[in-house]
Amino acid sequence: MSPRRTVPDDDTPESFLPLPRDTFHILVSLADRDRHGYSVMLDVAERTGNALRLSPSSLYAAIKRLLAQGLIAELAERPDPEHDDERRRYYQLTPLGRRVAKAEARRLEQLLADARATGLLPRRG
Amino acid sequence: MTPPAGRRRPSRAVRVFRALLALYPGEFRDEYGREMAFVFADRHRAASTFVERLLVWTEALWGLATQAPKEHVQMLLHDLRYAVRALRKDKTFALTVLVTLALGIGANTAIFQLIEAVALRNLPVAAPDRLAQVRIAGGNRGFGITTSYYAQLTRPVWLELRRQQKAFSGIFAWTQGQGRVGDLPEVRNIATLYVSGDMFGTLGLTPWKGTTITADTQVPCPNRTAMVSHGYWMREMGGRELRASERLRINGEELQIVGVTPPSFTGLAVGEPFDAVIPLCLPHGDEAALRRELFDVAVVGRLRPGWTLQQATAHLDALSTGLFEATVPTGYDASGTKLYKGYRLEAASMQSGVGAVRDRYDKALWLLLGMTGLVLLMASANLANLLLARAAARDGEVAIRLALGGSRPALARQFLVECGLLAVVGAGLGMVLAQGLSRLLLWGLSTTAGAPAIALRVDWRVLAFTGAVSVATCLLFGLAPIARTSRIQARGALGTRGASQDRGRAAIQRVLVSVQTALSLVLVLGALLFVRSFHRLTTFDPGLRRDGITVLMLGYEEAQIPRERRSEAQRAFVAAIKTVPGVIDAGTTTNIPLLGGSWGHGVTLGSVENGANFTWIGPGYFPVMGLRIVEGRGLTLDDRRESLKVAVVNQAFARTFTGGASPIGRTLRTHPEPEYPATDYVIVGVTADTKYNSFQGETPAMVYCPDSQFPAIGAWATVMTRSDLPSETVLRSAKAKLRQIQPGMVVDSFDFGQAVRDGFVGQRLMAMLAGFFGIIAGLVAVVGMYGMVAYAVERRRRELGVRTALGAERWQLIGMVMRQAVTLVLVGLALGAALALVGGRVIKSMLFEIQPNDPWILGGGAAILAASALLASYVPARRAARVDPLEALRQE
Repeated sequence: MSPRRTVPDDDTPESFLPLPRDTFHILVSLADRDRHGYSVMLDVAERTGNALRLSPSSLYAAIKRLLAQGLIAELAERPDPEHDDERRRYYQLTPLGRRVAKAEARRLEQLLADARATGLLPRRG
Repeated sequence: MTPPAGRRRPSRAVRVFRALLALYPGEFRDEYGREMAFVFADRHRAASTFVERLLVWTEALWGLATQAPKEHVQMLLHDLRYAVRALRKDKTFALTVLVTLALGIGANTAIFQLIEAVALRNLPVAAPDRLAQVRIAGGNRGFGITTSYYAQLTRPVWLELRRQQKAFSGIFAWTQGQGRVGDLPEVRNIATLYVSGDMFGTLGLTPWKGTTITADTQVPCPNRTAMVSHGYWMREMGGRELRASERLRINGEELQIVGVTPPSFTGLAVGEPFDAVIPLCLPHGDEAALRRELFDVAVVGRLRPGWTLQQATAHLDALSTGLFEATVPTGYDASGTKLYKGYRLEAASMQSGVGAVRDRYDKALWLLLGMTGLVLLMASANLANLLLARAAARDGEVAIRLALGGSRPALARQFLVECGLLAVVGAGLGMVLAQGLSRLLLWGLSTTAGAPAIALRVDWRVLAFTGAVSVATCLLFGLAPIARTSRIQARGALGTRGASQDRGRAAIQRVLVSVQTALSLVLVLGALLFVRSFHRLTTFDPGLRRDGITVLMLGYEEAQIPRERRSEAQRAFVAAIKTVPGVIDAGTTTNIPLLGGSWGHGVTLGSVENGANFTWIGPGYFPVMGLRIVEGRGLTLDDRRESLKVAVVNQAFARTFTGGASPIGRTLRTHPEPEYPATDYVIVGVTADTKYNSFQGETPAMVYCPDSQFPAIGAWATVMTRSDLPSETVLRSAKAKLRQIQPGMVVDSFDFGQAVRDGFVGQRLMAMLAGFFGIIAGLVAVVGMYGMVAYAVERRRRELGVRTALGAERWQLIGMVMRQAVTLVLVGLALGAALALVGGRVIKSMLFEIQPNDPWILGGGAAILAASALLASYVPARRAARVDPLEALRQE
C-alpha cells in the first residue's frame, strides 16, 4: 500500500505544536545525525538519564506517525558498523521536521522564561 | 557496550518477540516488523541481568498491548475513509445497495420483532423459567363446559391439587373475565383477571401502589377488594394516589381498590392486557357448591428449587388418579365418568406465558420470516452480481495496487470494510424502517376490536437478529468479489483482461441465477397458494347467511328477570325486536355459528351412540340464517315448553345415526349431564348441511331444538337479527324498543358478517404479504436474469461479431445467447419445484380448500416465472444480433 500522509492543511510548524513527549525526543535525537531505531532509543535513554525508555512498539508507532506527517524521512537501508553490521533502516529530519522541532524548543523556552518571570523558578543569575 | 559484531541465529527471546508481532496489522508488520525485532534484539542483548531482561520484556509486552490495537483502529479508519470516498464517487451504486439492504433487513427485523413480542418474550416476572402451568395432558376432550380459551381445570380440581401437590413452592389459579362497570343501563366492559391464591407471591410481583388482594384461596363471595392495572390506573384514574375510599363498581359489586399492579405486568396471556385483578371468591364460602363440570381456571405454579418440569409432571401424574376420583362430577353416564377419571395432569413451561395470538399466528409469522429471509437472500445475490460488475471495473485499480506491493489480505479487507459499511448503514436504516413496518403488520392483524395489544420493542434479541442478518448479508454479497481478487494477476490485469477471470465471474453468476430462479419459484408458488386460499375463504359459502345479520345480546341478570320467567320474556323481546323498523326477522340461539364456539351432547338413536352438536333456537333462526329445510318442518311458536319435545337435525346427523335414511319420526335420546338430564326428542325435520363453528373441517352431526324447551336457560340471550340496516342503527332502535318493555336491560351487539371476517385477518395478512413477496421475488429473479444475459452478450461481443461477419442469422445469434438462459431457468424451476413440494407440507394446514401441490398453481407459477425470465433474457439477447462486427473486433 502506498504510504499514508496525514499532513495538516496548513503546513506551518506551529500547527504541530505542542508535540507529544516521545515525538519531541525522537526529533531531537535526529537533529545532529541520521539514526536507526535502536540508536534513537539509546540516544533518548541516554539524554533523559533512562527516564524515557521507548519500547519497540511505541518507538515505531511514533516513527510511522512522523513519516506520515512528513517530519522525518526514511533513508536507504545500510549496515550499522556499531551494531553487528546488520542492515538497518535510517531516518533523518526533513526541513519541516527541523522547523517543527525548533518551534517546539522555542515554545518550551518561552514556558521556561514565563516560569522564571513569575518567580516560579529562580532567575538566571 | 555491545557485543562484537557477527551474524547469529536469533535468540529464542527474539523469535518469541517476532511471533508476537503477529498482533499487528499485516501492513504495519511488513513495514516495521523487522526493525522492531532488531531493536528488541539489541535491547535484549544489552540487558545483562535477569532484572534488566525482565524490564525489557515488560516494556516490550506493554508496548505491544497498547500499540497493536491502536494500529488496527487506524487501519480500519483508513479503510473506512477510503470506502466512503469510493461510495460517494458511485452514488447510484451506493443508493441501490442501501435501499435494497434497508428494505430487506427492515422487513426481516419487523417480522422478527413481532415474533419476539408474540412468542419469545418472557413474562416480566422473577425467574420466569421456573414457572409451569398445570394442565390435563391432551385437554379435556370436550367433556363438561369450558368457559374460556385458557381454562384448563375445574375449581374443585384446582383446590384439591393445591392441597396435595409438592412440586411447587407457590401456586395459583387464574381466569379471564369481563367486568361491567358504570351505572345501568349504560355500562361498558373492562377486562378482569380473576385470581385465586397467591399470584403475586408466586410470580414475585410487588404492587406499584398500595397492597395486593388476598392470597386466600377460600375467600367467600361477595368480593370486597380489587386491584387495578397500571394502564387502567393511569387512563381512568389519572394516576392519582389511592385513598381508602377508592371504589370500583364492577358487575354490580362495590369493590375497594387496594392497589395498582406494576406497569410491566400486563397479564398471563400475550396481547390481552387486564384492567382489574379480582379474587376468585367461593360462592357461599362453600367448596362443595362449586360446579365440577365447569372447566374455568388455569393453574400456574413456581417449581420448587431442584425440581424440573419432568419431575413435576411425574409427581402430578401420580396424583392424577386420586385427584380426579375425588372430584368426579355427578350426572354423567358411565362413558363420561370414565373419560373424566382417565385424565392425567402434566406440567408445561409458562416461561413466556400463554397467548391465543401466539397459537394463531406463530407459525404464520415464522413462515413470513422465512419468506422475507429468502427475498433478502435473492436480493443479496443480485447485489453480489452488482458488486462483481463493479469489481471488474476496478480490476485495473486492484492490479495496480497489487503491482505496487499491496497485499491481498489488505485488498480483501478493503472489500469487506466496504460491504461492512454498507451493511451497517443498511441495518441502521432497516432498523428504523422496521419500527414502522412492524406496527403496520400489527395493524394488519387488527379486527373490529382493534389491533392485538402487543408492545413492540427493540431488545437485545432483536438487535442480535438484525446484526446477524446484516453480517450474513454482507458476507453473502461481499465474499464473491473478495474471492475474485485472489485470481487477479498483478501484471495480467494491467494488460488485456484475463479470459479466465471472466469465466470465473460467469460461473458464479450462473449459479446465482439458477438458485434465484428456484427460490423465486418457491415464493411465487407460496404467493399463489395463499392468495387463492384467501379468495376461496372469502367466497366460500358455509351454507349460512352472514351479511345483514346483527347479533343482539340481552342481559337478564341486570334486568332482574327471574329464571322461571325468562323463557316467556324472551319471546316478548324477540317479538319486540321484529317490530323494529328495518328488521326482517329475528331468532334466538344458544350458540353463534362460525365463530369457534361449540356445544355438544352424547346422543343415542336406536343402536347408534355418538356425539352431536346441539343448538336451542327460536323459530326465526332458520329464516334469518337462510337455513333450508330439506325434509319435514322447521320449528314454530307452537313448540312450547310443555308440548312434545322435538328436534330438527341436519343431513350429516342422518348419515351418522340412520345411515342416510330419513330420520323423521325417530326419537333421539341425549346422554345425561348436570342441568341436562337425559331427554327424548322426536325428529320432525331435516336441514341442509352447513358449516358449524368454522369454515374448516367436515360438517358434524347437528341437532336444533326449540328454545322454549331449553333446560338450562342462563343470564343472557343471543338474538340473531336480520335487517337491511347497519348494525349500529338496529342496535339503537332495538335498545329503545326493549327498554320500553324492560327498563335497565343491558343490550350489546355486533355485526355477524364482520365478526366472521375478523376471523380471517391472519389469512388476509398472509395472502397480502405472501403476494407482495411473491411479486418482489419474481422481479428480483427477472433482474438477475437480465444482468446475467446482458453480461454474457458483453463478454461474447467479439465472438458474436465474428459470427455475424461469417453470415450467422439474427435469430441464430439470439438463440445461441438464450440457450444458456433457458437451461438455467429449467434447472432453477426443477430445483424450485422440488423445494416447493417439500415446503408445501409445512403450509398445508394453513391453506383453505386447496392442496399445496395443486397442479394448476404449480404449472401456472412455473409458467409465469419462465415467461418473465425468458423475456428478461430476450431483451439483452436481441442486442447480440446487433453487434457490429468491425467495431467488436476493433475494440479488442
